[in-house]
Amino acid sequence: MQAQWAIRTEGLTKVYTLRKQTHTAVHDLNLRIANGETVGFIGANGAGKTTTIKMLLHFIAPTRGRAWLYDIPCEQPRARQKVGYMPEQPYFPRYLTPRELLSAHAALAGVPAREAKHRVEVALELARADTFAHRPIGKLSKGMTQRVALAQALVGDPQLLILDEPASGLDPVSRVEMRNVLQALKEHGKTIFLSSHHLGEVELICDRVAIIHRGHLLAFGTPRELTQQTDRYVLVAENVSPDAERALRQVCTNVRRDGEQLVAVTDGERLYVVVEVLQKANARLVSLNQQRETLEEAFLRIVQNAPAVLPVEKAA
Amino acid sequence: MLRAFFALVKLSFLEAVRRQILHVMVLLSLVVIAVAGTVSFFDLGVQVKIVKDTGMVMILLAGSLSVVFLISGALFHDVEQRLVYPVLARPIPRGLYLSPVTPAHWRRYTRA
Repeated sequence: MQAQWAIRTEGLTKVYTLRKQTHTAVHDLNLRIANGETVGFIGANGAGKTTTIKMLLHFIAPTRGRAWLYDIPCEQPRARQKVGYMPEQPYFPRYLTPRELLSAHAALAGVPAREAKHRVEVALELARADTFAHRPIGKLSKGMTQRVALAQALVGDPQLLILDEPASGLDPVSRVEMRNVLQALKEHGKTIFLSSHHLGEVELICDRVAIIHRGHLLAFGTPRELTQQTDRYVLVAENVSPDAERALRQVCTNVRRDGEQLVAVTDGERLYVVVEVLQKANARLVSLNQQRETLEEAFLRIVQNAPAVLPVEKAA
Repeated sequence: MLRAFFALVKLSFLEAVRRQILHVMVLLSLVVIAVAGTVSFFDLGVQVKIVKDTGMVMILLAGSLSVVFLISGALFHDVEQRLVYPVLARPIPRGLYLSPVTPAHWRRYTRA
């Protein structure tokens, strides 16, 4: 029977102790990620994202709490049977070629020997790493190495992908390509757990977003649940005379011409004035939409509104 | 499990034999062996024995240096450079990762 949750954590906590000083990297984390979901895991540097991923893959043991991957306790090797992992800043043996690396990872992932060669080629193609699969990894650029890392994660045809900053350090073109690959994987029904700083991309791809701050899960919901309506309105108008445009510039921001149309942003207080100006000038109001926060704005609001003192571990 | 073990052995072996330090050692060994054949002053009429002895010494020396340079740095390097994470994320027991590092290098050593 298919497990309901791809990832489940209960009270997952990691406390580091160094010279009698304790630091809580992750505090009482409770996550439930359903099979087939794409979840963004966002937070500032040092918020606890990578520590959480390390605990899920059992690179480090939690101080308290437990985690399961497909209902199997994560400390058991078979919990990682359906998982593909792409590390942050991936490093691989420099003298191997991507094809050699993927062949080894196919064997490690338990891909049958007769299928391995085919799976390697499919993964290379999916990650768009097939054109440089014969070159030593040490001679590849950062963007190419990221693609090799993604191919490495895909070679076992995993159901769950845990991606730690997959677009880190990529140029804009490579980032868009990476986003397209993730979108395609999502459409193929893969569960994706994506830690990222690129909130615009998280908003585009993810079904739900978890915000972690100083080790605490502050919010977990769909982008629509996390973002709020703002007091900003975007209006589009036609037949706006130069005089009316000058008047609008007094009460609007981001005023620009888009062909025959004029686009401007205003706030709730000045909306009445804007409509009045348009009416007097006999201009036609094409559309008026209240703006929603971007995920980035919602993230900043949630983090800034977090209590200054969060519950932390007492000294061990 | 055996397949995973040999995959790790192959991974470690291929990476180890391509490191430039091995090429330097092979070159050095060939130079020393070649020089041994041309030095007639010390051979006292037993040149073949001198060449054989030099060859044996170079096998021992190059093998020992390979083991020292490669094994001593292998695990540390893998952890330091985070090469270990993608492997540990696979469904294999942790101990399996450690086991092939030594056999891979020993196999190279015995071929030196």
